[in-house]
Amino acid sequence: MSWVKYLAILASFYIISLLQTSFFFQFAFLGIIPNLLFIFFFLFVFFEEYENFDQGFFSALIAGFFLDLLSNAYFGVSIILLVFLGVLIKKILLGLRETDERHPLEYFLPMFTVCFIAYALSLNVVLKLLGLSDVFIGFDWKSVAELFLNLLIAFAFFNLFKKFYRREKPQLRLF
Amino acid sequence: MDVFLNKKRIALPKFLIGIVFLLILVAGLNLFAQNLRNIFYSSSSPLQQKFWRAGESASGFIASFLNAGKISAENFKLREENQALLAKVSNLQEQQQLTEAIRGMILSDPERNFDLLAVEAIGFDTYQNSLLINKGALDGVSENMAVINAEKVLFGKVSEVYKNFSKIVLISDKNSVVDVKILNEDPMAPPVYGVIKGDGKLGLFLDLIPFNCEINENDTLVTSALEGIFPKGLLVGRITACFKDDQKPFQQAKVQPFFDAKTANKLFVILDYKKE
Repeated sequence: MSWVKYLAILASFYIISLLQTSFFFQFAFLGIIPNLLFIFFFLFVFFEEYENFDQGFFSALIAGFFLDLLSNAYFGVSIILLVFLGVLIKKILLGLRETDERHPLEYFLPMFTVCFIAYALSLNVVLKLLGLSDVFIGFDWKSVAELFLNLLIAFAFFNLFKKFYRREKPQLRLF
Repeated sequence: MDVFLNKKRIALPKFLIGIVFLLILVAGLNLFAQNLRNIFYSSSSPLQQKFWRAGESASGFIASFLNAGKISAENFKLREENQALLAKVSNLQEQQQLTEAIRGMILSDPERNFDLLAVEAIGFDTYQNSLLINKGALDGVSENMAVINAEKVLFGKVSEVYKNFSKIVLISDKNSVVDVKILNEDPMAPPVYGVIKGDGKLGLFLDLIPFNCEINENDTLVTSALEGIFPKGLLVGRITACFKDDQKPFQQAKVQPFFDAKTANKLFVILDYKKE
């Protein structure tokens, strides 16, 4: 039934992209809107089995597609950045020490922070290189606020995903 | 060991196939980019409009709920402010004469009677500070047309046009530069010109104001039409703080924009503006 899973991911990203550009815009605070597409891409990669990358790769493709579709940039900018980030996340997760928990929060928060900053900066650089942006803007206080908002929302969804995945794949407990 | 080597042998072609697939996909998507975007916006606009309105109602409800506790404190503050304002009324009456004169000038300008196309915003892109509107090339929209609201407040310009939809880059975009004139209270003072730049987060700042020119808080900014895209006299924003730094060649100021992208339900595209 894996096609159902992929269809569900596709539909989720479609709805998320519409919500991000219309519904959540009305809640913009200081001009900041959460990047739900990125948050869900990260969650799908993070919660997949560490050894696999099928779901993560598909999520990167679809999330990147919608991010490119909604922006003025060429198609492929976000797709390639997210695929690259997805591979990087997997490599890091495989290299990390195994813990009792399957998806520990202490790995999630720093990795999300680093990936979010990496994505924002590389998007800035790529858009400048492609001539689609004249200005290179580093991290100012609004960017920090944006990071915190996204981190907060990612944390909320992390807990939801954790509950779902725990129910989906019960762990073998010896004690 | 053999298993490990086999895994590596399988991984490399898989990786290469992945890269080739990705490149073909990206090339294909770019070939049909215009059509893809138009199809996506056409098919999703009814749903997007519903989400936009739902967001408007929900944020309005939450805002009123959150502000309920503040009402009594605000009432007391407003009473105090009311007394202070009464004292200012006489000053304002004098200023009103000046305002009327400016308004008369604006209204009498034949350039004001533009051919306008009413549009509705249905989506927003955070990264590029752009709004999606429900009219496109079929309705006569083309790139670089100015977008305003009923009060002649400038929102931005059309940046991309599809068959049935267009994108407006707001003046708060990081790459946006608009020439403006600062309306001075003193009608005899020489006009002051500068440029408005966006901060990428729905905010604006004023730049390139010569040091010898005086700018003040609450000064109003209107378009000067020097860049040839926007007609002159469109409302842009109000100065909220001025920054003078001897190290910098120009003065800068923080600007509160007049446009509110959240209430961008009814906008107008100026179809026939041409620079003199």
